Amino acid sequence: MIGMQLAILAIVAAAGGAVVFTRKPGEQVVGASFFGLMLALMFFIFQAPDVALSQLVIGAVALPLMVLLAIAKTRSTQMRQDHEREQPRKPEREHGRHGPDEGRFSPPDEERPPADVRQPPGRPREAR
Amino acid sequence: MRHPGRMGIFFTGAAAVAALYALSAIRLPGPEDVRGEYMRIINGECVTFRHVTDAVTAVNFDFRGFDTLGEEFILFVSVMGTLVLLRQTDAKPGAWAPDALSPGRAVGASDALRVWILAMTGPTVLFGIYTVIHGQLTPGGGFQGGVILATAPLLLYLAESFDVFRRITSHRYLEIVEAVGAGAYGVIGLLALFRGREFMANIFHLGKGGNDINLFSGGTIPVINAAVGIEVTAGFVLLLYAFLQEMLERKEAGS
Repeated sequence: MIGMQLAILAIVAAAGGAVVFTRKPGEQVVGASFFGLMLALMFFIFQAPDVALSQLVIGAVALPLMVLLAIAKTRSTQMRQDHEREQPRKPEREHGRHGPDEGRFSPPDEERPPADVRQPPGRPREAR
Repeated sequence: MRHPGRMGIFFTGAAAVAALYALSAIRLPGPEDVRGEYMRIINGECVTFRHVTDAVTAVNFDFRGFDTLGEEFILFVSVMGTLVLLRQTDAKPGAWAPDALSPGRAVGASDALRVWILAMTGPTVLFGIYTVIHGQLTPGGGFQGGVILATAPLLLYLAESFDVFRRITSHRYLEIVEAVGAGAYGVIGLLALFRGREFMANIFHLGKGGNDINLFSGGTIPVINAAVGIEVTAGFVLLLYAFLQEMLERKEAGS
């Protein structure tokens, strides 16, 4: 029992460190979800099944989901604003036509912005 | 963190904090070495006087019910705040929208994934309801079961499409249901005042005798539990819908 407790404490510590040192938000969400899962396991091993269940649904499911949705929403809003700023010079994309990214799923932690999105000067897209 | 001096200062401080933390943690009692009297009192009371077997739920919804009332309204206000924030959008009809929020549609979920999700949605709902209504007997309760229930429409969205998600979540009564779930907690607490008891007193019918424990033997505990479950389910579904709704409207307006 004591060995299991020590092992799960070490895993939780390592997972927490990994979350802190991950820089990309998309990858960080996956890490945080794993961290939440391990935390739930820790509560279970320390004989707190009620807390473990709460941690499981909140820390491993609800929180990463909300963060992921927020990241996707922020990114899509930014892409749309950048696109509208470019709109007057490219009239062929009016009437709700889509850019070259149409129909392609962009994962939230995509490395590069789409080719037609102009980086606004002096404003970094994201801290990397 | 580029300057070496900065790292030196950081590690000095971190080492000091780690040493002090280890010093304070080393004398803590072990996880099984409980010294408080509270645990013994609760364990003795909750089966005999409240007719429930899960002491944690008994503490949450009865002995410390007032604290959980505050917790419930924290969630309620958070959901409301997020909804207000998300609704103030400058979405123009026909505006260009990247397809970042509908992975199931753009890529197309594989048949295996869809069959598996569709097969698991029913058990998910069942397990969520079980977790809510058995909260006072086994680990679980309204908060946990509510989140499990709210993931069922999300699973359907991932497997099918926006339209399915919208059909089962976009009812304007959902907000009323959430408010009723949150308000029912306070109303049940207030009912005790009309009986001349203190706020949040357990006034409903309790089980008789020492071993009469079933789903409904906990008095107000299962009722409050169900109210919390309804509130949490509705709140989370509202949150999910608010996040995905704007994208849906823009797609409709643009196409």
